This record gives sequence, C-alpha cells and structure tokens, in this order.
Amino acid sequence: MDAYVHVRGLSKAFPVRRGVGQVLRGEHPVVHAVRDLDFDIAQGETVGLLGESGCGKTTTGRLLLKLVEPTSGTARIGTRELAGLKGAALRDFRRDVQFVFQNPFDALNPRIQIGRSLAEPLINAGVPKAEHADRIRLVLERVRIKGVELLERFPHEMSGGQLQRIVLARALVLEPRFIVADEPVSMLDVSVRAGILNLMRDLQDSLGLTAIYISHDLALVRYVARRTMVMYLGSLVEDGPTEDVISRPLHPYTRALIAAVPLPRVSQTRDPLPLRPGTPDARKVGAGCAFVNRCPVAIAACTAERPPLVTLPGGRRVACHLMPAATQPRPPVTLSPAL
Amino acid sequence: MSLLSVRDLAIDYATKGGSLHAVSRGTLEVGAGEVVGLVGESGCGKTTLARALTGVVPRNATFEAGEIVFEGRNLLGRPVSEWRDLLWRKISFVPQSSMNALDPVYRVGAQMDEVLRLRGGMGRAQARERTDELFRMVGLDPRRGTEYPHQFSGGMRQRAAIAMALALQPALVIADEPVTALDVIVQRQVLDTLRDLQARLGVSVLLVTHDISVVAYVCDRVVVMYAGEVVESGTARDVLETPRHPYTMGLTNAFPDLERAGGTLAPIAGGPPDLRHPPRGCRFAERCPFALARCRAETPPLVVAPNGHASACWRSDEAPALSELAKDPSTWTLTSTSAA
Repeated sequence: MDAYVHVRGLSKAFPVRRGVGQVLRGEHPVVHAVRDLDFDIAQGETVGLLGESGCGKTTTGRLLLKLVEPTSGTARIGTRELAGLKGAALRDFRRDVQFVFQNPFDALNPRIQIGRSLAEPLINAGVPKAEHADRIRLVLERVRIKGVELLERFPHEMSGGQLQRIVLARALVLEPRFIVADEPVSMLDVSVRAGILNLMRDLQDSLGLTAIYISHDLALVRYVARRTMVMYLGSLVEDGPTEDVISRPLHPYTRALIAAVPLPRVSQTRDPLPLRPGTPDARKVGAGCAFVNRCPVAIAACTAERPPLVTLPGGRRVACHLMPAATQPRPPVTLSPAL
Repeated sequence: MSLLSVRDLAIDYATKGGSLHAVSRGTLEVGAGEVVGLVGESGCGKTTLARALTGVVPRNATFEAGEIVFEGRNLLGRPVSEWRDLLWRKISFVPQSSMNALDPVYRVGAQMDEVLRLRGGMGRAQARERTDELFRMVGLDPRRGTEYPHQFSGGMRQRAAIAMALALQPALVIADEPVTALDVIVQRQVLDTLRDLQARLGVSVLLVTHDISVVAYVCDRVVVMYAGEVVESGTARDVLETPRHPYTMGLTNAFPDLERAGGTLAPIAGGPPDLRHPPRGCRFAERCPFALARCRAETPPLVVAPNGHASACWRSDEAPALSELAKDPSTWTLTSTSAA
C-alpha cells in the first residue's frame, strides 16, 4: 500500500546567534534541529516519535503540518506535496491535518467560551453555519463529553481532563485525516491521563486516523502506538514495532532510554544507566554519530562518520555502526552523574 | 522518635468564594534518615503541606489546627524568626522548578556562597571551598559556578538546587517535584544522585510528587493525599503492592508499566471535590467504585494497622478483595457517568 505520509531527506536548520568573529568572516552558523529524515507512515497507522527535549521531535511534527518550512527535503501527506502548497490548496490541507497541543491550559483562548473555541475552526474552514451545531455535537460525543451546557463555559471553569478532551475535539471537529499529538497528556494528572490515552486509542481505531504521537515517555508511546521511531539530536536512530523496540532495542541510545523509564513498582535494584557522562548538544554534533559522546560502546568509526539508517531483514531500521554487534549485551558501565 | 511529626494539620486559604480547606487532616511522620514520598494529584494539598513545614505559606493561608513537631518541638504558633532560624540549617527546600530556586541574575556559585556565608556563618575562603565540594558532590564541575542559571541545563539546575539544599547539612530536605520537568534519562540521573547523597549523608527527605514510579524508585515510605487529606500511608512496598485505599488502587492502575505487557489503563472517573465545600463523609466517595452509603455520611478515620500501614477507608478490611476488583478496568467505568 502506498504510504500516507512520505518523508525523504527532510531537514530543518535554524540560524543561531553569531559571534563577532563569525559576522566578520561572513559565517552563518546553524543548528540542525532535524536532519535527513526518511520515513513512511501507512494510512491509519499511529507512530510514536520518542526522544528527549531538544531532539527535534516537535520540529518534525511542525514540519509535517507545514507550520515551519524545511531547509531541504520533501514531505508528502496524502496526495499533497508540502513544498509549494499555497492558497486554496493550503487551506484544504489545513482542514485535513491537525495538531494536538501539550498544554490544554494554554491551547484554548481563556476569554472565549468553549463552544466558540470549537466553532472557530469550522468558521475558518468555511463550513456553513447551519452545520456547526451538528458537527460540534458529534465531536463532543466522540471525545465523550456529555452535556452541551459545557459549551457556555470558559476554560478556567473546567478540569484539565475535560480541557484536554475539548482540545482534542477542536482538533477533530474538521474531521482531519492526519494528526500530530505533542505530549498530549504530560500536563494531566495521572487519574485522568489514562482516560485521554484510552480515548486516543479508540479514536484511532474508529476514525481510521493516521497519527504521530510525540513523547519522551516510552511507556505512554507504547500504549497508543504500535510503531515507534526514536530520535536523537535531529536524526532518526531507530524505527520498529514498539514491542520489539522495547524488548530488543538496537540502538545504544534506545537502550539507555529504556533503562531510564521509571517503573511504578517498588524497585528491585536497577542497573546503572548504560551511558557515558555527556550532554546532548545539537550545536556540537560533528561529522560522526550524534550520540558518540554519551555512547558506552562507541568505536573510532563513530567519531569519523555518521552511521546511516539501515533497514534490517524484517523491516526494523537502526543507525549504528555497531549493528548487529550493538545488540549484544555489554558489561554495565559505571555511571558518573555528571551532566 | 521521629525527626518530623505532623499531626492533624489544617490549612485554609481565604478566597473570594469563601475559605478553601487546602489541607484538612495532614498527618505524617518522617524518621531520621528516611525518605518519605508525599503523593497526590494537583490540588490535593501536598505542596501546601510541604511548604507549611518551612513556615512559608501564602499570605491568604492560615493554620487552623494541628501541630508540626520538629526535633521534639512544636513549631506551629512560634514566631517567624524561629522558623527562619531553622531554614537552610535544619530544614531546606528544593522547589519544583529550579528556575525558582536560583536567581537568574546572579551566578550560581555566588548564590551558594550567600547561603553558606549568611546562613552558615562561614568565611569567604571556607565558603568557596564548600561550594566546590558541593558542586562535585552533585556531579557538577565546580568551574561552572561562575555561570548564570540560564547557562545550565534543566538537570544541572536541579543538581545545583539540591547542592544548595544540602549546603548546611540540614536534617530534613523537602523536595517539591524535583524531577517532574526533566526528561527520563536526566530524571533518572538526578534521582540516582539524590538517592546516593541521601544514603551517604543520612539526611531525611520528604519528596513531594505526583509520580508513583518516582516514589517506587527512591522512597522508604509513602503518604498518599487526596482532596486535602491523608488517605493512606505506610512503607512504599505495602502501599504500592497492597494498597488499602481505593484511591491508591486507582492510581496504581492508571500508570503504564513498561515491564508489563499492555492491558488497559483505567482512569478514575470524575474529579476532586471543590475544597471550599468539601462533601460530607469520605471525600473520594463520589469517584469510588466501592462507596457505600456510610462513606457518604461519615468521614472514615485514618486507622493504623499493627504493621504501620494506615488508611482512611470504611472498607479497609476488605482491601485485598477490593484491590483485586480494582485491577479490572471495568470496575472503574461503572461510575464514569461524569467522565472528567
């Protein structure tokens, strides 16, 4: 089947502030937020995009929704090439794709009532006014909010869980085909978080949505996405079925991420993190692998050359010079807590 | 004897809509060298309670009842100067966002220096030496003391805040969500540092968090709060593995567990009550799938079992059976007519 989302060589570099010397020499230093992304997402598939803050996961989401323009590379969503999309075609595109924001307390205008917030996308998209009430009723049903009286309330009169449902409803009211959800439950209390996650799962199934779920928490990604892509400082380092990635991580960074995930049980002793002390810094990525300064198993080649993202038999992908050696268990590395 | 013992603490906030009972039955103990987790959701009063232990409460807050006994002395009702005397030297605080602990316009090392010299009465040379030592202790390079907070990463700032809290070797460190804003790897590293230092220095820690996996990782004991009241407390193992209060059961179900195959997470339907008009009886009753008529009429007392495991639930005796039922997600959907 043809991919619904088709991304090739997608990169985004942001200029950074120049020093005096750089200005005089006419240099234009940049930081590569996202580098050479290649991936496909099938129609109806939900993919988790996992990584630490600053790894480029949010920029990736924004690139796919054409909220920022790439420096190079191409992205196609459905039948539309994003480059050069404008005018009526861009407006149609905007109806088909939606972004679900992290913080429901910020995502809605505090000064307008919920009902108005929900109607706004419909107005912008030129949906006839007569249809508004029906569309809003339907979408509230979908996010399982009962009671139209809520529509007259203001955001501050609602709980976080209700607000996040409204934020979801707002994203869904135009019946998009592709959504990017950026850490949609990270601001919510645990007892309501599960409700939103369950809702997202059900909606994917019932609406056949294609979705990217951005998070730094593998346990949450696992709950909503069957496939996971792991990013590190702008590059994809691993891609595969979520369960396989968890049970048999291939990239050393993924292994560290998994080792760090907190468990909600009284812990047995846990292994030290398989990481060397070092900080991720997108400005300091050299010619080699971006992870080399923290990687416990790095070899000389890792500093010299960036490992390509290779596809393994079975379809998993990983960008590591030590493949398949990297999958062998290694003696634990002693952790020194420097950051 | 406990280092800190809080009994039946009640704190009200004066608000436009009347008095808000932020903490009603705050009862907890922290022993010497113990790490105690204070768990609950936003608005449950955990931060109010923790801050009250430092004597620092918002202007509209009043202590209505109870006592805060620290090293055998009830601090409640004592003059502010007496509290202030304890801060940093005996009780220190690591706030949620370390941006708040560190002044953005002063160098990090200078802020540490200030605590050591003004509060600890150290001389310049001694303070500098101690600052370097503290930086190394939390895994920071002492040379970075000349930098400003914004030049630090989130994890580094949190380390600096922990170093500052430990500067004068207090007996008790209160940490309010110290790792909440951090990525998983950094979170784990900061927790490892905290755990390591706690064991080495023998300091007591009261760790306020909403995250039971953080509790599971670092705490000896845990105190669970709901709607301003302590509903359960005991060893981390007892509370997390054999919870006796339905709220705790619900919380443990709502957490995804990476090492267990995915089932369905069960949310707790509804939301916490308005603390300006708390309901009669058990405050969790309206969200509780096991609530009886009695629960809505009478407030269950916090009953301590012989093993120290305490819970405030009329059906505590049935806890093992209820706990089994609570593991089934459908138990929690029965009452979900008012889904949050």
